[in-house]
Amino acid sequence: MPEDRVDVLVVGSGPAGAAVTKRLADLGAKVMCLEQGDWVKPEEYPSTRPEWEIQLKRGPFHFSPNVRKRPEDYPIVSAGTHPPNILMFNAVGGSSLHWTGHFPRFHPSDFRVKTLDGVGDDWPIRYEDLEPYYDMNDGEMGVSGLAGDPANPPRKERPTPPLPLGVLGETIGRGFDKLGWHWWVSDNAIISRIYDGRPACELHGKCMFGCAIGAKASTDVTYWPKALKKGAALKTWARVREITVDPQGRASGALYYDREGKIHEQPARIVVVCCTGVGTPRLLLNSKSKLFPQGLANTAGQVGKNFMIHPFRFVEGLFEERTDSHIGPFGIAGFSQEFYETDLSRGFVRGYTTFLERSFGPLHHAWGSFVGKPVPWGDDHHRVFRRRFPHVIRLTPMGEDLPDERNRVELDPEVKDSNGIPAARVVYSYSENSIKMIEHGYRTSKAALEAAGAIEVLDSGIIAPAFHLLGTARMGNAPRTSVVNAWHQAHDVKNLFVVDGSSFTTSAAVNPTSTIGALALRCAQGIWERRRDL
Amino acid sequence: MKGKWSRRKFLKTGLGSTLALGSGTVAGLATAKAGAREKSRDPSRNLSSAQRETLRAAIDEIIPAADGMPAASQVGAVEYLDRQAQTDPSVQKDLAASLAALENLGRGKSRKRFSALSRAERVAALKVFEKPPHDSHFAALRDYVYESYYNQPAVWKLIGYEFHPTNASGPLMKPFDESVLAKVRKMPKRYREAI
Repeated sequence: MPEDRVDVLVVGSGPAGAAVTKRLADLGAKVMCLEQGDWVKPEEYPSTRPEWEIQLKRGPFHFSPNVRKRPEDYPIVSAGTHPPNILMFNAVGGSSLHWTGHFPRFHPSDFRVKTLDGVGDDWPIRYEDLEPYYDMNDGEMGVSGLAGDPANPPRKERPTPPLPLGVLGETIGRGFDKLGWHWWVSDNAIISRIYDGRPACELHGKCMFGCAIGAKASTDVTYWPKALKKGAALKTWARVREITVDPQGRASGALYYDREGKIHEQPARIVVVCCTGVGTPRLLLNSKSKLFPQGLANTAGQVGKNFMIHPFRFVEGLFEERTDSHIGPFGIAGFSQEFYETDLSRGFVRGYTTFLERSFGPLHHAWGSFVGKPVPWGDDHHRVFRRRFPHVIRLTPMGEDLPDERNRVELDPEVKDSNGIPAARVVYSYSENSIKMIEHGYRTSKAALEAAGAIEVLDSGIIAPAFHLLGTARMGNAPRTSVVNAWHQAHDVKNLFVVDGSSFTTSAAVNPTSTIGALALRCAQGIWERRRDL
Repeated sequence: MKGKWSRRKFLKTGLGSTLALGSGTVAGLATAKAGAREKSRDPSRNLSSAQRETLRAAIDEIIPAADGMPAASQVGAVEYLDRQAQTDPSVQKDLAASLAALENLGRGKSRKRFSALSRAERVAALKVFEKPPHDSHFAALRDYVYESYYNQPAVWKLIGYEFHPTNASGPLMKPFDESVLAKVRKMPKRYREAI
């Protein structure tokens, strides 16, 4: 039995879905959002419990859906030369519940990769098109930071001042200064002052295991309360199986399962898909019909192609003095963009950001920390443990991934979720360019740590923790090589929009959440302005 | 950087309002309670006395008393793992497999139970155990032992770690000092314009 038709149906309630819903509700649209997960209550967060670090190995808040296996999760199969470990969360607020809170912006050059550097593709929009929406998103989320960074275009005074750097920040800052390299205190969507009815950060750390006070801007505490107040509807435990189409090939709504496995139909004038760079292509590919036998918005076969993550490498320096890197908000303390813009003399195109990151607690250090080198057992255990904890500073070079059609998300032919919907299968291999870039990132991180006084440097090697799921329904002007246009409107289906990490034409070398929110607000504005033609 | 709010005021306005929103929205979803996911203890999942004996013998070789620190068994590590096994079947399964593999290894050599070996023999057995083909069983056991040790408040005190739950007040940190960026501020623009 179809339910009442809404103006706009949004699928997914994370950073994109929340922003789209709230903005359209503000503008006066009747909006409904379907979310396969539930609200997570603050008292459920592992960060409120002493044994919180267990979740790094097992438990309902593990970053990987394949490990935590909550009823609302769907399985993800990984393949390729470097099978990625897909990390995300299904709940109201999506992966923003798990996210560090780091909130950087793209550079202007990130939107003109093909023109400037001859690789990847150009976005159909420019930095200037997105800038007002970055500002709007900053205001909605609440950000701490400092304007004046010479590596980024000027921006308005941040809504709240920077969070403390801590001993690790000041120590590594001296290292960067000694080398004459750029560094800056990071923008974080973690407020350092009372802001918009939310309390200031209490510097607990453990932000990736939920911020119980709501100082970190997960969208369940930022956009959603306001969207609901504006009249938007949010249905939890609503797992969308497919986007439906009418005989004219227009999106007509969605079919979804409730928690008991009962199927429902939700009609809508306009549909917006915001399910991450893995969930979005999965849903579109599963939305097959007579008119769209290859899946929705996939006439050119582009849905699921060009999957991008960010290549990482963790580099940890051990220092004689205490660095207390486990103390303080987890969101990136600072960063260097000394090697961000292309310089072909380095042996690779495009570049990377080096993050100054905090660490988890003593247990994670004993297990091997981010570099995967466990403290030895036996007689030497305590001596080595004391050398490492709390004496580590971690630098993480994170590079730009370039689009490659061979890296892709598709439907798995065998594995299904609890409702019988095919699992996502993710195929991924690093490019030679990424490998060279991250090798360079390792060398420069080591140099910076040593300049800051590190007595030993440990390294993870190149790894594939896929927190950033990008590029699988990308923006572009050409329907042959992209899925949506500059306003996130599907080339094939006039009233279908896609906005989230999947919309990214290229990945840049910064965390994507700030850009996802800005794109979502711009997409909502575009829908509103074109609503009579859709 | 820390706000001047009292703990009570902060809880009332921040956490309090978040909880009110969460519970209000969840009210219609009877099955969505947090408690539903909490695993209850199941006595049938207790480690057996033989497993506990092996565990106790191995645990103090993995983390012995040294350098002013207690051995794992002295801080309740065995009891911790027994509790974890009761509440999480995956822990019981992993531990049972690792302990069985360790016993089998010991018996192949000396026909003694692991717990009956001398300290030097136990260390030698563990050194074999950490290498292929047993390495995955060893790594699981080692990681559980580390978990059982570093989740103990008594150990935290000795290593200088303070746990600050995110629903209580946090640690103190020196406020951000803008002067640390003085040198960088003087740098020329470092990003490319793009039209």
